[in-house]
Amino acid sequence: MSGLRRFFTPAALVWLVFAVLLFAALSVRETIHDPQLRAAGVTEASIVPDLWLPVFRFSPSTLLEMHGSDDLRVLGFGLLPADVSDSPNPAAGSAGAPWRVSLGWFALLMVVIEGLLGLRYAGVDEKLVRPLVRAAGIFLVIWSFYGHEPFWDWMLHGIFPSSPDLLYNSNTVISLAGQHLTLVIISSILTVAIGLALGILVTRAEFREFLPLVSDVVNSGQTVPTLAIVAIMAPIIGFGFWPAIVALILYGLLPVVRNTIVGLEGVDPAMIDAARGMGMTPSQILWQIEVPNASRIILAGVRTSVVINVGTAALGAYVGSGGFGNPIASGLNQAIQPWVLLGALSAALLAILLDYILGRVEYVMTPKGLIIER
Amino acid sequence: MIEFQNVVKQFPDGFRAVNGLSLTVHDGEITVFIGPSGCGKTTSMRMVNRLLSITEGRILVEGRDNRDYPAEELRRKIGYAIQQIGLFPHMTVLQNIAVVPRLLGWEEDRIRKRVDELLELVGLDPDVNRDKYPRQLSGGQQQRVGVARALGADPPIMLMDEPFGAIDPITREVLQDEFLEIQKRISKTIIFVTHDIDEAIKMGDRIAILKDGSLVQYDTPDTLLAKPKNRFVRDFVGADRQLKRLGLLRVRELMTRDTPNVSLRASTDDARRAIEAAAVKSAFVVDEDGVLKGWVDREGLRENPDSLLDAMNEGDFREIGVRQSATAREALSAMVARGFRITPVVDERGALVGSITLRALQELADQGWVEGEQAS
Ligand SMILES: Nc1ncnc2c1ncn2[C@@H]1O[C@H](COP(=O)(O)OP(=O)(O)OP(=O)(O)O)[C@@H](O)[C@H]1O
Ligand SMILES: [Mg+2]
Repeated sequence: MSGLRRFFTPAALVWLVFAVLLFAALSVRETIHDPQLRAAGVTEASIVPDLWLPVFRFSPSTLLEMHGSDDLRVLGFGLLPADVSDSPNPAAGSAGAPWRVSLGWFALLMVVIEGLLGLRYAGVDEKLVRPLVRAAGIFLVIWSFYGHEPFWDWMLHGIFPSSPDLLYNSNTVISLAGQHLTLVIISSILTVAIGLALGILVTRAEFREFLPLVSDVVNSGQTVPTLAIVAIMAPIIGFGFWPAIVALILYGLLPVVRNTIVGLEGVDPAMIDAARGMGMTPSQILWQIEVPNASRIILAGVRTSVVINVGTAALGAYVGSGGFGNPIASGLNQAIQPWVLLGALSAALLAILLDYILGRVEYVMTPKGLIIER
Repeated sequence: MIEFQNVVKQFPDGFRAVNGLSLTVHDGEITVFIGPSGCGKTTSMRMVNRLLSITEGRILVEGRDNRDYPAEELRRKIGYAIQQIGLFPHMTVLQNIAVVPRLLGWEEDRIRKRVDELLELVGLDPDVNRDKYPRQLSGGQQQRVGVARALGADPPIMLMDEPFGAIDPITREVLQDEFLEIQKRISKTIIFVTHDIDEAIKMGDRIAILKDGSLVQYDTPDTLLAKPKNRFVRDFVGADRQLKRLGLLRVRELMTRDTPNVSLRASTDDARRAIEAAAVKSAFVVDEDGVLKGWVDREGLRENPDSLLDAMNEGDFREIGVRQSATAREALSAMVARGFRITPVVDERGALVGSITLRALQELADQGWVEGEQAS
């Protein structure tokens, strides 16, 4: 009895409800009344499109195309969801057709996995395996919604019954996500590198006099509206990818620099004194004592910065850098709400997902000795 | 050996925290720096391993000007323990203690052995504590690890800045005793900073009293208590310095060996004769092995003239006697508690080896007091 209770953890129950909803939705069928269709042998159809989990397919050609392509290949490291592969119609049922796993069955599988983990870690405050499994599950679900045109078509029709231009068809969602992620990841890597370097530099005795200056500049970087930065950058650097990156860096620098400074300044001076007294060199003290002890705060800054960047990157559309900003901008221009919704919703989901993943990264990278509660 | 030669420390703001300090810290001894807050104890100590620069004068470490060593090399051969402990919370106990050995490039096997050895030394079970993180330890345990870490690479010299300062009095006493035991075995040359005079008297082979960055008196604890150089020192060591001094002296050094005593089998006449011969009021009673069994006095003999057993006052040696290793202060306390002017001294079996009298303690105090008064 109690074993059953431990199996059905809250997470397992949520997956169960999800699976039941999916199967229930699929069972809603409408009878085909149109005589012509009937004559053609079409009988009944499910109202809700079957959602399936795209099965990843590895192909060497996608590896080669990693550079220069503007879809997810740039980031996908040769892994492409089956439905956006090179074949124009992957669902055609040909010999090479990819496998598909129904999302409903996947949700049931997650019930089992979560349940087994619940039994395995009963009563344990386990902070790594379970969150990661959960994140992977959620990611796959979101993944299956993306690039699934029948689903989007169905959903947008449901929300905006009167609107004719429902699907944003100048680019696939996956490809937009790829552009967006590219913007976010490249700008974040640069932001973190620059921010860490600045933060470390101004907390060294030799450069401490620059601390107020750097703080002010970094602070003002965030005070200026993002759109203004983008607008100012465009005439200087031109349109496209790089002005957007520069704007993103300027905007995302604040949390990284601020948290690096706060983290490093917050390291117990007695600890540094002890390290010096034991004969550690300044760089040993920095990398072996200060940075590990500040890592938690620094990583929190990185996380904030990345999440901010996901939102800011949407504005990149105005200088032609692509991403989820594109459907938002076009949608606003042409008053097509579904496009705006598609872009905004996607960006929000991406932000949540990245925040969650970085939260786990933060946990894994924080030294164990610092997480112990007292 | 550490030699301060006219050392001056002037901070960038112009404040002179140390003003011409000259003293020698002898090999294998604990030298305590003590004085009121802000007198320059920490500053003086931190110039030894060059955590602070020296403005004038010089400090010789093992005969060499400490500025001739590369700073890191100098620090690696000087153990360093501070009040805040400063353990690294992201490292395990093992990693903390291994910091200096690793800096010196020791092999892992040797480091592991050394860490276990040090944990044993400071009274922590290596198997239980090696892989713990500092936050999993109590304050006292952390302080022990701090001491073990300072001893990490077996440095000949140690600097300890109020190492037991932030600990409750009972644990502090325990740690002090343990550390004295350790020091007996390892004989390091130690500068020990404290502002607690009792700790200074207990820990120090020599005590340096500082005031406003200058040395006021540098002597052994006994001399310091017996002959304070001036009013400042006298006030600093406290009005009860004679009592403190008794805490330094061992019964062994003050007792007399010829103590009137009689055997359990002796007659009351024998006892009376022994007491009269020594011109005292009472004699101790011992059994055939010399173990203290009680005492007998003139009054008791008068009331029970026939039997010594009836005349004597029985007393367990553990209760009425003191050991040779006890302090004079403990002997005095025993006398005050029972209202006697004499306390028997016994060995571990309980055999009577001598006695210590109130008069002897008084004489000692008089002598110190008079000389102390004259000095000021
Ligand atoms: N960096 C500094 N700049 C200016 N003055 C300083 C500096 N560090 C210490 N001082 C001053 O030097 C004096 C001696 O300081 P020190 O830390 O040696 O005192 P201490 O004897 O260890 O006192 P405590 O018992 O309170 O620890 C104090 O008056 C202090 O204010
Ligand atoms: Mg001090």
